[in-house]
Amino acid sequence: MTSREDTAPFRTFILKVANRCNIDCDYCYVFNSKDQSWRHLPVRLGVDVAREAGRRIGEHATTHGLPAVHVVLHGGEPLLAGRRQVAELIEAVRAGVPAEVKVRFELQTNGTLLTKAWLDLFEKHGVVVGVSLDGPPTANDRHRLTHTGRSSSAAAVRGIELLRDRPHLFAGLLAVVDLANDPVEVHDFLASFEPPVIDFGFPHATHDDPPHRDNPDVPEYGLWMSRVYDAWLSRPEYRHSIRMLEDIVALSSGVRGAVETLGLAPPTSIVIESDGTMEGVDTLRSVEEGASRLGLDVFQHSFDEASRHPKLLHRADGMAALATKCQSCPLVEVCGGGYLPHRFSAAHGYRNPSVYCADLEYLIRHVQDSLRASGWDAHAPAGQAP
Amino acid sequence: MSSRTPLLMPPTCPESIQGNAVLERIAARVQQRLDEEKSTADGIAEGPHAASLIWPWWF
Repeated sequence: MTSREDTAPFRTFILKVANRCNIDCDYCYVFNSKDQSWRHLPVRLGVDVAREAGRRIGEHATTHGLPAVHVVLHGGEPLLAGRRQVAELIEAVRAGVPAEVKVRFELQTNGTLLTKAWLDLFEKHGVVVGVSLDGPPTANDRHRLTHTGRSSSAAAVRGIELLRDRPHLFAGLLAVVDLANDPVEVHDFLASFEPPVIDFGFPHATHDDPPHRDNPDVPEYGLWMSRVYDAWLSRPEYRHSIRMLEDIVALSSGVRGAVETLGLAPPTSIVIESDGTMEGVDTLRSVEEGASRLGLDVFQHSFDEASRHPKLLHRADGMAALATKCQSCPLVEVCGGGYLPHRFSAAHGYRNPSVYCADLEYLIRHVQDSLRASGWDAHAPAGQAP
Repeated sequence: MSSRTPLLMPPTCPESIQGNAVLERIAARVQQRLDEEKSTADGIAEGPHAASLIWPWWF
């Protein structure tokens, strides 16, 4: 049994405010993956669910003495919920959290429905906005098409341009890697919008359903991202961070916390579905039907109960939950064994190296070699002169 | 919690990074994260969700 003291509290709460999307990305883990639970969930998250979620977040923050929490309005496409509904949801969540706890709201959108009126609402409620875009139209159109097969690129770019007029609301851009795209072209296109952060994700895949590769003997995804790294370093005129790459630098330098895809820190986010049910890692929907379900909901259960759920114990187990090969790997503190869905096989569950193991090794070594060549030193303790 | 042995450390003097402005900025942010983790009372590191962009250590 894991005691409360052994588990990290949740600090990020992801509300699935709309369970439909106006575009149809073929890699989407919500709509186009093995788990099809979206078909049985309410189209929109109701104010009653938001009110109860807010109360539970407040309870959790008080129990653990959290000074701030992070609430992400997610989907599907959250803007499909409509402005009035989103405003009511934000107010319902905020009302449940004690005034002394800061609530940072973020919304992740495909950008196609953004308008000035939406931005006015975000301004009023202090919501920052991240947009998903895979690169220039030729890249974005490989996967992010409408339900009638048309490009969504122009509408997404129009939304991002609106957001650029309010840079304080612009959280950044999220892109999914496709080997068919040129990494430098993708990087430079995304950087041209001057986001504070760009992040890249590998396509969801498992050992039973591995990622596409042109040559299985080459770490193609690692090579692709290493070219992004080189492009990033060669463009000092842009000031963005690239989360995956900066996290590799940080983890190599002794920082413990990183996004859930890297490192050994326990994930500290939980998902609240549109019916109030809780999910631990929603991207596990890409693994198998029901993999992400906990059987808990905000009406009957606290987030502390969720943090002790057997399906989430891997959060507390850290290194012990990894495959034997990973436990003895010199890079494990950086890659963390890879993102949980990418480790899965029906035969061994999550006790496998990532399907992107070779890619992560190539990329991490590329970044670390670059740092060493630039004067980063293993023997200079932080805070002291070299 | 794992005890970390860093493989590399950012140069404490940014000018010592060999002429790369991007790496200078990264070094400053990484040092800030190291300092913030050291000063956090509970010492808990966080792994936020991949499909959102706010970094908790920027709170």
